[in-house]
Amino acid sequence: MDIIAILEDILAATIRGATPLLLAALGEVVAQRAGVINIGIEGMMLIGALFGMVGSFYTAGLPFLAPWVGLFVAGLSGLLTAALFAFFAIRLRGDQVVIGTAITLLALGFTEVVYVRLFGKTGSPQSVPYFKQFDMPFLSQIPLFGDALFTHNIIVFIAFLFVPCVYFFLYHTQLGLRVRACGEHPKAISTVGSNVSLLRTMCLLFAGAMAGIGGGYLSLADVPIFTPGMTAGRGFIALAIVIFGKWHPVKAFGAALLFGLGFALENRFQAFGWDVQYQWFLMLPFVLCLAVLAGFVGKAEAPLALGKPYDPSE
Amino acid sequence: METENILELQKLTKAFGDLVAVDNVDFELQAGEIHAILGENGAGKSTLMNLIYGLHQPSDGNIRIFGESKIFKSPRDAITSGIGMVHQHFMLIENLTVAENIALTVAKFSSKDGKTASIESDTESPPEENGIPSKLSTFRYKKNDAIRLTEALSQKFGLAVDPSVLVRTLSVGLKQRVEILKALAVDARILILDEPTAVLSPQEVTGFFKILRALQADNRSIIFISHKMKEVLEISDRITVLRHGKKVYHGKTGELSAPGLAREMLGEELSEVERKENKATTDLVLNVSGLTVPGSRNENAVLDVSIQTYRGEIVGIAGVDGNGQRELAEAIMGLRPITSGAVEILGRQPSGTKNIRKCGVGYIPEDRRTMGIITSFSIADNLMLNIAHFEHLAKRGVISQKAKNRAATQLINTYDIRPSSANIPAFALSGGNQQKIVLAREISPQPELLIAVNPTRGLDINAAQYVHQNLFAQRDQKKSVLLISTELDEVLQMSDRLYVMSRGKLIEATAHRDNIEALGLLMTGETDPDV
Repeated sequence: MDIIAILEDILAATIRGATPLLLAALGEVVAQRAGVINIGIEGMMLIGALFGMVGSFYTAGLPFLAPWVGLFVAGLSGLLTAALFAFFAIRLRGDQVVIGTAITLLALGFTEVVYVRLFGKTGSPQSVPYFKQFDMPFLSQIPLFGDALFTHNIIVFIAFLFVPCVYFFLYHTQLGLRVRACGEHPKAISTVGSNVSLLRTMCLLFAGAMAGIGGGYLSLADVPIFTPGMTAGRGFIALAIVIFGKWHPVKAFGAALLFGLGFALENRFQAFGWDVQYQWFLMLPFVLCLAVLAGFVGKAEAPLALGKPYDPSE
Repeated sequence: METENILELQKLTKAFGDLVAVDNVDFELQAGEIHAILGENGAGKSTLMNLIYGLHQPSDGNIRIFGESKIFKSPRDAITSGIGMVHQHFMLIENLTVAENIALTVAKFSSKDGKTASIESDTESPPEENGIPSKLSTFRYKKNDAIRLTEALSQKFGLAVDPSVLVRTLSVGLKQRVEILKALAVDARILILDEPTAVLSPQEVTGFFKILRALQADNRSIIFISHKMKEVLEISDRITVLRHGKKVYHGKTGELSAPGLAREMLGEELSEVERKENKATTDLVLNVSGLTVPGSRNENAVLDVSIQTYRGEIVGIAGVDGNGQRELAEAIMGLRPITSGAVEILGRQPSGTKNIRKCGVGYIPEDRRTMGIITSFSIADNLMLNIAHFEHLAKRGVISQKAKNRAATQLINTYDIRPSSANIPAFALSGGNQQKIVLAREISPQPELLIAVNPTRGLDINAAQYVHQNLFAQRDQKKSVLLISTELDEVLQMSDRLYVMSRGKLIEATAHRDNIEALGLLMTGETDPDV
């Protein structure tokens, strides 16, 4: 294997690894900008992963349509989980960290129970129709890295498209301006007549749907199976990406690529067959996560009202 | 002279449970009038305004605006009816620019002419006059439109402010200007100003009053809420006084003198605490030399400050909020790291708050609710927070409940804390009584040096007097007091020697005691008030 081939391989793997992180992180950027810290993102991804696979499984008769149904169901299941979060966190003004943790723990158990109920304890996981790689016409023919950059499944491109969309929404629409204001000083926008609870709920639902789709990517692309606990902390890494990306969609994109590289290297290093226990490589993305958050971020300026329930009577 | 009433309140009442905050109040506002509402803290001024602004709904009574009877369900309804409010605590988003803050308000209300504000309805360019957008698109946020709109507004009303800077970089006076612009941006005919001068220096107040006069000339009406008699007498056309939720006085400005108004506010004649002539000793207590302290953004919040206090004197530091007073106090107390300089207390240089307190230092922090007391703790537990009390009551670190309650009850009686039960949580107490907890805790160990930061902020006149008496008592016992306050009157009344703090620097100003103008100049950063 020559060096170019290795780099191409790592680049392609980085992009694939970054995609689910990016999807979840973009949703989380919007939620946190509105002032809600959604720690349940890991659980929402896991639920999305399960239901994405389930959706595709039950429509497998239409192999072209099935993955799309799966992706839709994944997003919907994430959205519904977020609705549960919203009920406790916004309606009842509970503590967002506690609720988010509860949702993640709930999802861990719930997905396993549902999976075993539906498919039994089979030795090998169920395989379902999934998103196949395709070559972007022309672009993938670009010499050197064209193939690595433009030969992917469709969700990768959709995820990348979301970056400018979220950016445009936050910085170039009135609603986005209100979302940003909501995370800084909710009382201020309520005195000019905006509905803080509604705004936050909408952002949270978006975050849930994005996390669900991110989870759906895991079970509907690349390796189209569901295994319990398969998100393996990706939701928490998405949280780190939001902070590392300073609550900005474009910077979060960069951060997602960095952590995608972590996952890519984890796999490549294992494949090199070095005489090192593989657990060391598994740790890689998470060590990266710690190092980045501890050392290189500088003082992150979170939205001022982040995580604080809004009580209009105060 | 018969002018039409644009706002009328008829027998307005608002009860929160058993507490009647606003009791059967009648009030009227004419076009182009500045109407002051005077009252102590808790007199119901803010509740009354919240009723007008739609933040609360009245339990009984009627609000008539432009001759129509209306109930506002939310501020949104009030704003559409032409009411704007500048809150005491600004409703600005610090991390957004001025233009963005303005746009937030304008976009919400730019579709007044019958069309509902739906997100899809307005994607084409808004109508423009001379290149200035008269409203903003409800979908797109266009930075340049917002900036031009803000510029146009500030030109129209003569309120200069840079639209593209972040609000958090503005001075308090400018922030207030943005708040007023925000209200004018949606064409408010009635402006409610809640304690607007509390945060301004004397010079800024003058400028602010000019703005109010201009708005008045534009036939807008202003409700001016304040507890500062002097300002009310200067700016208003009519005065309404509230006491315990009831309207007790109403009349043209000038009909009643300041003492008369004070009597209406308090319901009794007031005995001013007089500053007695006082001889300070030459025993040095606090000696700060060349102190520089970093602020929260790594700027120099306190810059090369030197100050001495002696036994038997009160040294006052005046200044507008946010000029380094808090950082100075915290640095002396060892709560904040210092860049350079030294703090000496009674000839020693203790390090760490615990050791500083052991030298005999008491500290009344500026915000009793976040720094002075723990609101969910009982009165007794709050009283015991001081290290000096712990040591007496604890055996090997275990506090005897009996001894604690005995000590607490004694302090509660001495300092007249009400309700006088040791186990009531502190949040159930009024501001004045909360402050008494802090006073009892900090003064009862007989500190050699007492540092008091804004000790009467938010207190009514009686509670404030109680605090002042205690500070004087400290002085008379030949202790040393450092009083840091944003209330110029308080500093003037209390202190034997006087400093002004501005942009981190400290300037001796005892000589200018009787010259408010000079003090004002010092407070706004002039170093030589005689220019």
